[in-house]
Amino acid sequence: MAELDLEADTAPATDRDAPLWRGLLAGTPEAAQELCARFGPKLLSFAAARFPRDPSLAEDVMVQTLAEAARHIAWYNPRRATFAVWLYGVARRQIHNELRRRRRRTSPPASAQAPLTSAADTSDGHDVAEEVAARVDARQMVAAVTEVLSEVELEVLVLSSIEELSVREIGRVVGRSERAVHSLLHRARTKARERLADHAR
Amino acid sequence: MRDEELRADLAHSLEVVRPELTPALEARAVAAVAAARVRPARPRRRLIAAATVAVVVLTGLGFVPIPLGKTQGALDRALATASNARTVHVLTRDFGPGAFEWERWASEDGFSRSEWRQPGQPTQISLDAGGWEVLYSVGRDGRTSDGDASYDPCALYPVPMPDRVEFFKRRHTHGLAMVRHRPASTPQTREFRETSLWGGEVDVFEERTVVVEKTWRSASPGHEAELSYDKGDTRLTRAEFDAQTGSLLSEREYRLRGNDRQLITETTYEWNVEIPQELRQFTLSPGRKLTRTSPWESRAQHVIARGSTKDWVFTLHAIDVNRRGEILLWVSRVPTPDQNPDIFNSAPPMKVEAVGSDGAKYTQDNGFSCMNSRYVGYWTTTLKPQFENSMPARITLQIWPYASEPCEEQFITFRGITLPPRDSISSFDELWAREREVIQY
Repeated sequence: MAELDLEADTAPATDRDAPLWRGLLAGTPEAAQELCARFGPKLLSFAAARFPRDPSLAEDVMVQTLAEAARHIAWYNPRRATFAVWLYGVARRQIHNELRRRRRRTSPPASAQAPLTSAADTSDGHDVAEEVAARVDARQMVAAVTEVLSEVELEVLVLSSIEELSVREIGRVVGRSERAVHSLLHRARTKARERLADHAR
Repeated sequence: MRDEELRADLAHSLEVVRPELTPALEARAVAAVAAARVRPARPRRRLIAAATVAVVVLTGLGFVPIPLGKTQGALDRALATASNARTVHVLTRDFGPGAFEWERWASEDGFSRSEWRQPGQPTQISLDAGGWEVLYSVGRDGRTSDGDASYDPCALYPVPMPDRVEFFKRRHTHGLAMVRHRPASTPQTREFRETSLWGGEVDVFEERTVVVEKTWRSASPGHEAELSYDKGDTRLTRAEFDAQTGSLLSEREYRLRGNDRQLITETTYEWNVEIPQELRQFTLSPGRKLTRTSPWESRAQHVIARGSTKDWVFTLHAIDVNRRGEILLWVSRVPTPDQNPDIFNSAPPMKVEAVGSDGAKYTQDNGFSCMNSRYVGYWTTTLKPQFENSMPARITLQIWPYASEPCEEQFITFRGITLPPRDSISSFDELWAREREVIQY
């Protein structure tokens, strides 16, 4: 992780998160709440793409990411990347650590896990059938896409979908050049479209 | 579907499937953030550079490393730093007869590339990406050889970055009291810090081992080099680590013979470098063929049965039956999370005993195929029926982790496994041939 240069106030004019990371550095309670509110849902999406059948794991990854970011906030260098780019890099590391731990625990492969149709949730009186159908459709879409993409293809596709990161910024998160990310995105989108078209038939 | 539609659909689907940020979850996250103690930043490089210049000005030193006293824990710090690395670039140069260069790249997503170069020889290249290992060579004229590609299911279990670097693997997989697989004295080690004008501050770990039995070193496959360690020679290895970051920088091996000190090999390490995209790809020259062998690709993530003992998890992935009633099992073996850390996945296959639902027993054949890493092993093993005309519908399997050490308490039983219909092939060599594809470039 990079270091924070306290002497140079070089936060980019477009870095709207400057007050946030400064607040984290100062340890203000408001910063902790804002961090969670601003990035919590999208980090949950990012983690859910990698662990679509394990929502509790996605929650753990989100909490660990925010805690790690707060712990290492002094290492963040705003001259190298926006706070969002840096934070997704932290999230990515947490996900990879968790994947390594899971693979050593030999959790069953995706093909052996419970079918998606068991994903029904209760509701508070809304149209249960429609809610369940929507959730099943969404999970099937995510599962279909994750089946055909490599890890890094999935990462770039998810990052481009859930967060307004440029290709260059996505490259900073996943450690690839801008050109490589263009290529990965193109491949990922092509594969995803083909898979979703097959799935729809 | 246009890109924008795909983006919107995927974003929406991820919003639907993600867990909800409930008040309880939010409170948990906020509490975790609030409890996190901010770690201080690393000293800036400008300060290090300024300190180095100050040393030069004040002491007027030349190009001699300055010892700065003893340090400890450089190996542990290097291991921790390597564990967090995204990529590594390693270059080994050998300076003995039959000198070679061996260059490797690895990234945390499982990619690796290895190039082996010797003067006057084609460069041998192996490339691992997405579970596929591709081997080929490139001549001095730039033309490639034919290539071989095989699917390695071990890629499903990513190997931590330190284990992808020989330096760290050696530390816990080989006894140190050996030189080139021959007995040697117990190594004498020391750690200290040095400053040099060109290297900045480095932590040094040195290890000296006296050779007890003469060894020869093979510089490359099929090549017997003249370099040897005679009885009484000392092998000195010197590893250098960045004193600020803890990163492993280099390792050198020297042979000390009397007053002579000869550099044998030198390995340098660069961490978190960007791996050029062209290194992640390969193309064979026109007219060349790529032979792809992929039987595990369709089987490795399929599960017929799974069970665990104290130290091992066994998974039966697939079964094939040939027309003679012989059974080919596709099985993996993974250490459990609580396994004794001294136990490794090694090549010898599992021991299997089997009985068909018709009562016929099966004998395990001596031959097997294996793809294994430290973390997982995938085997195929053949069972031959007591009677060739046995046609049981099901089979019960009892599997031990090793054939040579039955470990009576560590077997797993898979009962009543349904057998597939017999294939028309008479031997499993035909199955491998059937799952082999040749691509003409």
